Amino acid sequence: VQDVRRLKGSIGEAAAPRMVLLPLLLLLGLLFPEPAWAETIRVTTWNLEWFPSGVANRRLPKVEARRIEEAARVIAILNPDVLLLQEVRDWDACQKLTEAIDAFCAGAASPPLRFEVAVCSAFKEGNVLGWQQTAILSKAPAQAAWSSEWTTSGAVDPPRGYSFALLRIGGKDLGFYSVHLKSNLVRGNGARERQLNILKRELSAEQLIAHTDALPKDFPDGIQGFVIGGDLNTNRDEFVSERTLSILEEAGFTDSFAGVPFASRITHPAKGGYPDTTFDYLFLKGLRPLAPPEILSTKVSDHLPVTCELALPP
Amino acid sequence: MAMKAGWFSHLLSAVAAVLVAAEPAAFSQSTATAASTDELAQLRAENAKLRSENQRLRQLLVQTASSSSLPAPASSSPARESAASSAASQSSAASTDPQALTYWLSATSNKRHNASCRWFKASKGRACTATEGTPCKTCGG
Repeated sequence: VQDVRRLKGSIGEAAAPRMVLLPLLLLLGLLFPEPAWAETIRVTTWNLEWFPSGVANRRLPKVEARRIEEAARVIAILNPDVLLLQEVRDWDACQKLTEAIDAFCAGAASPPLRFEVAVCSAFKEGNVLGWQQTAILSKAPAQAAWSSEWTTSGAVDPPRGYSFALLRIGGKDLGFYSVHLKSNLVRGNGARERQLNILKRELSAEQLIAHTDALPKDFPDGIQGFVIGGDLNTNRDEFVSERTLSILEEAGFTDSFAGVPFASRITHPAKGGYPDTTFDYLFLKGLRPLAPPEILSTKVSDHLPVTCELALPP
Repeated sequence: MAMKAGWFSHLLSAVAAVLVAAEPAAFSQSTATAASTDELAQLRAENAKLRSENQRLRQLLVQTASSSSLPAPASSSPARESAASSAASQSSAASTDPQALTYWLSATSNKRHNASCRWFKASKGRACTATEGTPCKTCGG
């Protein structure tokens, strides 16, 4: 691209000295503005499946340490700037992950990748802390970060909530969300439960949008872009009538998977009777994907990491 | 009127001729712009190619890493639910993995409690395996 800029510069140099042509060229520039040169960032969302144990129980420290190393290795290879995680146990697990990434880079004699834990939620399941928290890790320090549980609406009680971090990258203030919406687990009355699961996801999406709308009040300097990433547990292939994704799109967010064929957006490979499916997304506002998201195949988790390279707003 | 129009068009032609003579390169701008567009398209194509190569290399790195030294990660039930952290799944994991830290060891009494016990994670202590401490008389440990 620099070559192109140089080339364009040489065109300008040829035409510029003539006073008569200068206004014409300026006019042309106004009529056909060049896209502004923007920095890029890499963002990854990954549901790490009961991290670090891999199961719903605690396991021996050495077993958990090995899984942390496995995840760290994949993350170091992906090399994102911002990491949106789901199903992590707690802050300590996130901290150990950052240390493992650092250690992996040191061992591989590659430049260090120093992440900071911007936020790790502490959502409760009943009266106890859940083990499926959401977190945001970033190379850039957070300007602000917090997490909040979804609010209940009547009988619809969405689980968990969102983690949010405001990061200043390339001189821009960008808002990042890590979310893990209601699963498709059904017990008892199947049809009713399925409908309730959908409602919980839709309600979560509505609350998320309400939060993005309310944020400018807290940040008068403005937020130039948003990324909502996570395990949304839905897609248009299986959940035709569900509005969760539409709610985000109607609020001005674009799905980074838009236009990507099904075979290229399988983020949760078939397992135990469940088919291949798309559950993990990066929704963008004010940021532009430079290419379709890349999905790395790995056995570290039942979900695959989804990474997208984004152009910052001009 | 026809005279005026003719005079004006002559003037325009003369100005254009002077400008072309002064800087012919300026009038070859459209050709140069087309060339730059071609260049841009070429760079974009190269960029896309590099990006896909990068992805393939990353995939290769992950596969090499997982096949060389690291064992397959622990599998879990296909249920994709946080609420699935029930006693049922805890006990099934405990039965398959004796080293799993699914019990609670009270620090003061050294008693081991299972997930169904009222003292499980309700007393000062730590997670433990099925063989540590002495079993609680209420829950059986």
